[in-house]
Amino acid sequence: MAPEVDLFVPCLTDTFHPRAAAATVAVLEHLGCRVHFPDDQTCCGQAHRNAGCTDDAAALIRRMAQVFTGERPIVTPSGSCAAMVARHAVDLVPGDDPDAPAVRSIAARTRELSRFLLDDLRLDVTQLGARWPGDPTTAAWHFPCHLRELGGDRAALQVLAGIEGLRVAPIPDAERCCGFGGTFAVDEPAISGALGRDKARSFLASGAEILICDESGCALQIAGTLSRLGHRPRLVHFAEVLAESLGLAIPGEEIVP
Amino acid sequence: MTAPARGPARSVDGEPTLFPRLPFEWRVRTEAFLADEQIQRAVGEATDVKDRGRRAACASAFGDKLAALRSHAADVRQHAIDHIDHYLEVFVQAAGMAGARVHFAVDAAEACAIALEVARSHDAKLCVKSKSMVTEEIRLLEAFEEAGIETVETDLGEFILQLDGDAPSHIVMPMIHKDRRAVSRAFVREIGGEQTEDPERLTAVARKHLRGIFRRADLGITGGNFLVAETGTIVVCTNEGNGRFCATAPPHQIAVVGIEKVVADLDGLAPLLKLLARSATGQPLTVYTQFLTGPRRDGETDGPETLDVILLDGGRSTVLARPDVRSALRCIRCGACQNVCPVYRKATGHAYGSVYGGPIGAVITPLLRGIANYPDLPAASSLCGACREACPVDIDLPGMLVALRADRVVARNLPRGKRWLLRALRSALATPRRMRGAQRLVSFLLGVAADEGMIRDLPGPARGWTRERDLPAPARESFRARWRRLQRGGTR
Amino acid sequence: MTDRAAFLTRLGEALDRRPRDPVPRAPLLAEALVRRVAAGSLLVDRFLAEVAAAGGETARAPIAELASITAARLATLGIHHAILDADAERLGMREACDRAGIVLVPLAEAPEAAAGITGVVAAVAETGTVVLDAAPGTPRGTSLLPTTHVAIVLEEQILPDLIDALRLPGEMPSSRVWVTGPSKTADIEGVLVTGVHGPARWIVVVGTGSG
Repeated sequence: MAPEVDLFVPCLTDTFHPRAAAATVAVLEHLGCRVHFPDDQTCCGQAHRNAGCTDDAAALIRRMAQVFTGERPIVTPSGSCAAMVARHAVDLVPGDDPDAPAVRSIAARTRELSRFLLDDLRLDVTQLGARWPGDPTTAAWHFPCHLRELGGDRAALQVLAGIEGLRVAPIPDAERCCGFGGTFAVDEPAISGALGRDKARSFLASGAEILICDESGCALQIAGTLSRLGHRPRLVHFAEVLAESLGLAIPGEEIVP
Repeated sequence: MTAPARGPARSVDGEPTLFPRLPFEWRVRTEAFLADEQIQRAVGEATDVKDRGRRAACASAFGDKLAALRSHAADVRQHAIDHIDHYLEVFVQAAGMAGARVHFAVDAAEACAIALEVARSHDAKLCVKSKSMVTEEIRLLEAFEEAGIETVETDLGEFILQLDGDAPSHIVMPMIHKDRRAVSRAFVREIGGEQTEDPERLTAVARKHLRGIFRRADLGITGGNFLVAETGTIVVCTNEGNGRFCATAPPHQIAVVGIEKVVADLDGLAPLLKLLARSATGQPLTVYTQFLTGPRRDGETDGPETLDVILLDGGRSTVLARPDVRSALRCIRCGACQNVCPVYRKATGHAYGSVYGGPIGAVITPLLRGIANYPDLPAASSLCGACREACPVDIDLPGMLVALRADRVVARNLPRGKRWLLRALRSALATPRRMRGAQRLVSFLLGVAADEGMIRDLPGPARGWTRERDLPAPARESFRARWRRLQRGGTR
Repeated sequence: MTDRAAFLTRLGEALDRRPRDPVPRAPLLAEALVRRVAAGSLLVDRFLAEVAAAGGETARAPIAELASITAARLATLGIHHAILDADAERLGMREACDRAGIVLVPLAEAPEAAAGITGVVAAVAETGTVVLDAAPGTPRGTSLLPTTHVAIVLEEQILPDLIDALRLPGEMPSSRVWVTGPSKTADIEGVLVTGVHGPARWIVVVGTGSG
């Protein structure tokens, strides 16, 4: 029986990196899942929670819990939003609140994509049959800080290791924050900018041709910084790399490039 | 021949480095230090070395038990803090039995007054002090200097800072921001040291100078890393031996210790001591771990004849009263969170305008000295979580920073631009329809502004973004729009 | 000055505790997690390896020759003066130093270049630590003031783990110090320098076999 999953596409991914979400659909379907996209969804409230706007964050998470009903796993291509729902959502709603059971439910069901592939679908990366289309190349993978809250290991990297013709290594100094940090990026532009330049230079020094970044916020920060420094490398989500290496059609790609 | 009194050290903004005018705005300093290549290099390299040392030492000593050990250490600290009134009572009894006098100070002024009274009662003229953050916190040195009692820092780093009219910028490596040239200049100028920039020679100069002072000092002042309730013991961890000198050579000793340092018993020290030095410097233990229980006893020929212990509240009781941040008091001052923090490494210690910088400082400084006085510090974090991962006693520093940010929101104390941005975002995300509308609007506006897919200049509160980097333009079609299109086309 | 009762009551109030509220037992030490060295291991080897790792110089000698080998070692290092504490005297260091031509001096008159020779109350294999207690006859300064500190350890004094050192029987002395290495600093640009305030040279000699 095909596992059924709900897809949660965070607001930044939705707005800036829709192809990552579409590739997520392609990969999940390729692995036998039926993907549902509850189209009433908006946002998990992470930005508000991190900014200390607790009431706004609570309202958004309640809303999310009312949209994602049922029992299906909720899969999202963003580690930080997965951490928000899985780790922090329950703290925003009192335990005796009428919405609390629904919030606990989404917290228990939410998975970051790479973890879902390995832990829930038990993907055997050696049997993946994925091959990088085009000449063998090297890619640098960005470690998004929020993976720390989800157990810290690098599931995406494990999956990517199963792709033939693509050598993937973390960006040197992987665990140092790229400086995005949500409102931090505009609250503290000087420090955020300096951290972004360090990350961009680490990527450039790695000599990799492709930058794999699974977090939309980090992707804006790193791509924007590289651009300011005069570089425009290809930047993709690991789901896109996987879909392309599996030769999958990415939904919607036929019309909009 | 010793450091002249010169008033508090001042920073790039002209304000006293650790005790600036309040409310403190950290931006002026941050930007100055970011532009200072020497500080950036010195702090970057030193924190890197210590961070690597910590990781290697903890991994080799504890392997996969590390997480459980940290959690055990956290339990030991938390238990003592949750019953701190009880354990301080036990400590006072035991320390009193051993002959120490224990005093209670509600705030810095009271702590200094008690220390001065003790010093005067011994007719002290020259004091030696070992490295202690809490004495920085209460500005003890300034109080003694104002009272005309000469007081010399004896930790090498602190001694150099004192000569140079500077202040510590890291919990464990106080002069992390200075290089050997600065040390050499200070020694030549202040104590007639030889012309050398060799750390070994410079250290020898300091040793010789400070030996003379130790011989003459009539009062030693130390801090304390832990207080052991069951035995009335003060634990002092040092590498140089100055802490030992301060508790050996002068005829009298004062120890100033924050109340939160208490642990129930000696057993409880085992996980803490095993983690402390490894987390701080990568050593298995500091070179000297002293257990001081009362003054010297009958028949002993050295050590202080009197020991006065001053227990400081200094705002800690307000932290105790808040369950959401109380566990910040577990902190054992190892500095690991500073070494690993991307923001500390760039802003550097003096940018925090307080004795405690880095993630733990961004939490406890606003708590101890008032959130309205340090409104920027809780926001000065990308919440990357590296500090939480490094903390040997499992303090949820990012969670506390978020809690303090919420305080500021509740107090309606956010900058206008940010408040506007968050409100607009909240409103746009309230329903899918509004979200679609907002996405279309943003996509249109940014699309127009974009040049080859990048926006180079934004107005209003978003200017901070484009001051530093470009903003990639949003996609022409959001995922949700794409999904609806596919649904309408019958493929979904 | 704030009085103790008022001070502690304030803290109790902050915690929302009443003065007579019971205090649960402190967490028991999780020995399985914390202990790194079990009893019965090869303690001497581990201890000396850790001493060396901490920057100490090491030697071992059968107990019968312990004093003479220690004194001879100091003589070859060019050390002409030594300070003994009561434990070192008991171990025969006075006679051994006389034979080796090392002049014994009292602590108060010792030149810095002297060696301070002490016994220990215990040692710890886990970290290469020696434990020194202040008491009549064993002042704090012997191991601190001179540029060289020699600690003489008997094999049976070596405990496996720091846990065991925290559980030494008897009441706490006025000063107990765990020494793990020569005096060190890295305050100037992170460069490691030994001998800041305390000894630059730390020598640990273990006497093996029964005494």
